[in-house]
Amino acid sequence: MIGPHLDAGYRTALAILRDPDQAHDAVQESAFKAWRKLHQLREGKPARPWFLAIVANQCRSERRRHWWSVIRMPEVETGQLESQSDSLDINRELAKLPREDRLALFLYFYLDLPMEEVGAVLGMSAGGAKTRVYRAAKKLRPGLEMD
Amino acid sequence: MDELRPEIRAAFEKEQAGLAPSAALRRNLVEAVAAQPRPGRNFQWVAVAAAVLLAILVVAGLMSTRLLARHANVNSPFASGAREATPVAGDYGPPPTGVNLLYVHDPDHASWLIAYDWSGQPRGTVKLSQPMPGMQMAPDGQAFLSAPPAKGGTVQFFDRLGQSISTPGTVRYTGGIWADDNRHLCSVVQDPNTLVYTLVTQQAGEAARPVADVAQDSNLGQTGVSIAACSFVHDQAILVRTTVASPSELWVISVSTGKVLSHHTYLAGQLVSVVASSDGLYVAESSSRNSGSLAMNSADSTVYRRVSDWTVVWTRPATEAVLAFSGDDSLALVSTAPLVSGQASSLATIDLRTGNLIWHDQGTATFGWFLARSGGTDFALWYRTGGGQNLTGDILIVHADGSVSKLPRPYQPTW
Repeated sequence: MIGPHLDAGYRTALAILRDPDQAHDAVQESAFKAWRKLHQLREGKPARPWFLAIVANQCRSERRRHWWSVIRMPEVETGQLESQSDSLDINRELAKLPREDRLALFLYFYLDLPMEEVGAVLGMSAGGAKTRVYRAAKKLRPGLEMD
Repeated sequence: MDELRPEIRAAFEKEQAGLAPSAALRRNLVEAVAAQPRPGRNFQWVAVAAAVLLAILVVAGLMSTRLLARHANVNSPFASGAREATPVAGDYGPPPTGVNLLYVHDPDHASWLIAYDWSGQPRGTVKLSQPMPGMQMAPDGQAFLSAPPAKGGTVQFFDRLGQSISTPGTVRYTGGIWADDNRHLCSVVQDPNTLVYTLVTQQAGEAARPVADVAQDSNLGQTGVSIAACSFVHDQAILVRTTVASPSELWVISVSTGKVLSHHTYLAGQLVSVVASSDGLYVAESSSRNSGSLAMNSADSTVYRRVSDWTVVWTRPATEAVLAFSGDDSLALVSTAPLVSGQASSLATIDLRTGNLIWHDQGTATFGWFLARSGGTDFALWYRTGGGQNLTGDILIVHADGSVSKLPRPYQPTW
């Protein structure tokens, strides 16, 4: 049941964790959790957002679990990148976004999930997800208007 | 907001490039998970859920009359008005991953392929380094192969972004179909010296694998053996031998071992065609009466069989010739009159469970070819509008409710 969504799960984990080994571990752990929670997936409910929500939660846990090491060995991220160039490269702007904003954009624009499924993964309504996606996109393009 | 889609998608695509999941990810995970004991269930929530559900049902029941009235007349089973999709602009950015896509050649850019989803909306553009002859998309649109127009050329595989995949050995194209895993090409190759037909499978990055020698001709060109289905999911391929324009033999072969699982024969002139579902679970034997044949052996009806036990599961009038099963085996695309080149076709989709007619065409255009949505219920139909070397034509997507989406301009398909 979750087999067809493993690739999307891995890519989602990679978008959050930005480390292929950690993403593999996260999607593997998520597959175990999904198996254990299979009874929670009610008949007729789509498996994809349910599984991706498990992946996203697993990645959040991973981030929390590694927080102490992040404090000890801080990642060199946006500050250094900014000093290299002032251009408004969208890659750089994306990298600077909070992870939940990146996740919202990733689910909607890259995985092409409908807003209902984006909301299911993020744990909010479709309307809430649309607002989250819009606000995140507006950080990339300040003049952007919601459709 | 959606105008940002190509840019954002390209940015994520760049970020994820080169970090694709390992090929063994799925297999390893499935094996690891399958080895886990199935946990016991906690049914404490059932009582609470039942109470909530009961309340919802009561409310829903009270509202149902209004809801039903609101939704009436939305899905007419014979709807003929096509929903026109958004007009084409050109570059739609990298195609999304994990979405079933239909690819067509961009009439304005010889090396571009435009991806549409199955609702008829443009979703991405693949830009090849150069125009490739005979580009064929995998049924899910997540891979391609370039098959030269003439048999004997070299097959080249491409990933979903149009990047060529290095494949060992020189692979001579001899025709074939994509397997139901959307990754393997399955072909029947005839050795010109021994006249033996061999089933061969191959996927991108790997050498071709001979699976089984199937049959042999006593003289060159006496018969032909083609592949009707190739399922890696169900481990079986279906091969059909045609003798003088009529199916004469059928084999069911394990693609993993090459073992012949079953073999069946037909009388000369009994059938006009045998087609199989993409998962290899069903075959449809179309009576030769559909082709106007008055042969003594003509089958009385067109029948659908379950391959596993060869029982007839559906019987339909002999006037219906089956062109394809839907990806989930619930529908069939049929022709209710012989398909004659240059003449308008008469196509229909049938619900196999009920026998109901879901959709039929207007009988005004010449049918070219079709694609069944991988694992789904939609059919994409290509009607030729250009003549001669012009391979563009209108593309309709026929949905399971009988509604139709039409792509915004004529295209040459990649299926």
